[in-house]
Formats: sequence, structure tokens, C-alpha cells
Amino acid sequence: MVKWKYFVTFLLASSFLTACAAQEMTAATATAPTHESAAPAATLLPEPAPVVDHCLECHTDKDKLTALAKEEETGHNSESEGVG
Amino acid sequence: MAPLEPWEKVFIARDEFLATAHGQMACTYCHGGQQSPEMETAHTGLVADPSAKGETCATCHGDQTAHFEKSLHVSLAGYWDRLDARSAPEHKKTLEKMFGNHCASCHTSCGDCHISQPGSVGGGFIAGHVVQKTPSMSRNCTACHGSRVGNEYLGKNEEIPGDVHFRQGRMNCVSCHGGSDMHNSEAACTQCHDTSQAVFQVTNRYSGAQSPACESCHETVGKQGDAVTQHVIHGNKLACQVCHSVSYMSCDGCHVAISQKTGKPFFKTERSYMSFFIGLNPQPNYHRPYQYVVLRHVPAAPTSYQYYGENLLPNFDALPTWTYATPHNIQRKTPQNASCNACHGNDKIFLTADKVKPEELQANQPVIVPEVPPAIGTP
Repeated sequence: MVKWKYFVTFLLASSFLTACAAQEMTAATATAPTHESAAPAATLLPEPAPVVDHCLECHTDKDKLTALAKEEETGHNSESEGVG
Repeated sequence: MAPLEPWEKVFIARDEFLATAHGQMACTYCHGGQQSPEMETAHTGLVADPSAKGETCATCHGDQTAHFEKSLHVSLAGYWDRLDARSAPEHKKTLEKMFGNHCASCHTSCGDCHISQPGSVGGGFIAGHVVQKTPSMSRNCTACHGSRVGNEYLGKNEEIPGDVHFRQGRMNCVSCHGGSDMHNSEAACTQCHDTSQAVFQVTNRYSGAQSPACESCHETVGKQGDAVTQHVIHGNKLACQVCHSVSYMSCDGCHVAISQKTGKPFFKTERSYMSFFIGLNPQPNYHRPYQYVVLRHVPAAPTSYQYYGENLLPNFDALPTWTYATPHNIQRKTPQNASCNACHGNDKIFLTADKVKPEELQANQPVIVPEVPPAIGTP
């Protein structure tokens, strides 16, 4: 009886492991990158916005921006005269 | 157009922006920098205008950016076309320095039309960083093209009405200058046309197919059945503007330098004035076979860049200073189309040699009208 139990357990374990191995192979085969498409697809996906976006938190705060934003000193063409 | 306050230039309209596709992406995806509540850290490695090189936008907008780098807004090729013709190879480096200081800021990125005002007019978001599919006429197009095209089109020159397409049609710039023109989407003409043939060579903005062309909308002009006899009589001899444009701005003597006080570049234009002159088409071609076009004086002078060196334009006479122009103040009725002899025999409106500065006579030979068409009905 004990031998029979060992035999059944061994059989189930073997079946389980075989099934997993097959699934892994299938998955690996299905997602194997093709030479043409895989690399660009990875770089084309835009990075999603984070839950707390510090950039947005600041750039939507008028008071904070008023305190921090400075006039850029481009002074471009400041001494120019006449029609450009 | 009132300038934006410093805070306003970088203020994002949260709700509106987050409702758009661009609002779903992390700011750092386009702008670099770092996610941090500290401004200095957040701005480390920041790219203020990620569209400056077009690559970021190309990630998603490949069709629009495919040929964009060769559009005049990006390449500024028109400047070099003129500089190279009037200068000499030994001055190239000096002129490149001049160009970098005074001309390169006219370079236009995707963001300069769709997100912000151009840097040359102070920059700043147009609509809280919400990407605008159609650029704003006043805050984008005429922000740069204001002193001539903008003022003509909107009727801002004293006693000169605005363009009929604006006054009556309420058309904005993109009504004629659509996205495919701006993005240079038709640049792939070489796929169908043999560009070794002269007819298909595009050497400047007045060669190659007209886009936009008046005939695209006014399809029957000059064709059989056209009720306007003058269209049929004159055919392709006259550019449309010869009959339908009025006075527009010309400029003389632009000179550039670097300020000794501030170290900033600046320019001075000697004179600007309203003029209307009909002249010869300097480069008749398949798409523009006209004998007569209208001419605008450009502010180029032999000494324009003398701040950077002597005689940098030794071949100044290689190009006219009165240039083929397409003024944006089209009218149905104009002084010159009031009657036959309002134009024929009217030497006031033709660019004859006596109206050209002596030192520019040689340069303008290709456009000077040697003999004004005689009045009709006179012996």
C-alpha cells in the first residue's frame, strides 16, 4: 500500500513538472523577440505618469511658480532698431 | 499680444492637460530631469524643448516628422541659399558664427508651433501646455511672420486694407498653409519624379510646385468659361499678385552686431517703407512661368555683416535686392486693375532702372523692367 502511495505521488509530481516545463517552453517560444519588431516596441512605449508627479505638482501651483519663476535673461535683440 | 508673465510661461493647466494623451505620460519621458520635490534636483538634466531635434515627437508622430527636418522652418535653408550665393567659401566659417548669433534663433521646433510661443518672442505655453493641433495665428504664425506678412494680412499697415481672405473669408494661416506644407510631408516627391530633370528641381521657395496655389481654390481662373476677361487675356503672363496685391513693406540696410554693453546680438534696419513694384520674374519655371511678378526690397546690404569682417559678401550682385514676393494683402479690386491703363503705361508701378539705387543696379538686372508695357489705345 505504501509503495502504491509513493508510486501515485511520483506520477502526479512528474505530470505536474512536465506540464510546467511545457508551459514555459510555449511561453518562451511565443514571446521570443523577432529580429524586426521587439526592440523598437520596447522603446516606443511612453513612460506612464507616476502616482505623485512632482513636476506637475509644482507647475500647476501658480503661487509657487510666481515665487520661483524668473524672467529669462535672453535680452535677445534688445538693442535692435527697425523692422526685423 | 501681451507678453506672458514668467510664471505664466511655465504654468500647466492641470485638468485640461491631464485629459489629453500627452497628460498620460510622465513629464520626464519627454523632458528628462528627475522626479523630485526639489527644483534643482528636478531640473537636473532637464530638456526644456524636447522637440528641438524632433526625435521625441517622432516616437509617436512619425508621419509628421519624417521629412520635417528639411522644412524651411527647421533647416533655415533659405538663409544659406542667399548667404552662399553672395559670399565666398573662405568666409563660410565667419558667416556661420554670424548665423549662430543672429539667424539661428528663427529655427522652429514642433513645440514652437504646437505648445509654446516661439522663443524669439519670449516663449511660454500657449494653452497651459495642452498640445494645440492647430497653431495659433497670432501667438505662433504672426509672432514670427509679423512685420511683413502678419501686418499685411491683418490690415495693420496704415490705409491698406487687410487681405480679402481674412476680411471676408476669416481664413487663418493654416487655411492655406496646411500641416503637410509645414511638416514638409510631400518631400518624398523624388519617389515619383526624376529630380535630375530641371522641371522637378526645387532650388528655392519659388521653384517647385506652388503650395499653396491660388488655383487650388480659384479653379476656373484663366480657364475656358472664366467670366473675367482679364484672367483669360493675361493668362500665365502675370502672377496673381500683380493684379490683386496692394502696397506692402520693403526694408533697406539691415546690419547686425553684438552689443558692447550687454554682449547680446542685435540688428538695425536703416529704413522700412510701403512700396508696390511690378518687375520681371527672375526665374521663370514650369510652375511659375510668369513674365511679371511683384517685387519687395529685402534688407540685405553689402555691409550687412561687416561687424564680423570686411567684404564678407564679395558676390553681393549675384542676387537681386528687389526679390520676387507674394504679399499677403490680396484684394479683388486694386488701383492697378481698375482699368487697362491703370497698369499699362503706368511707369510708377513698374520697377525701372531709375527706381533702383545706383549701387544695386547690377544686382537687380534680372528683375528691372527695361520698358514699361505701353498704354493701350495710344499710338
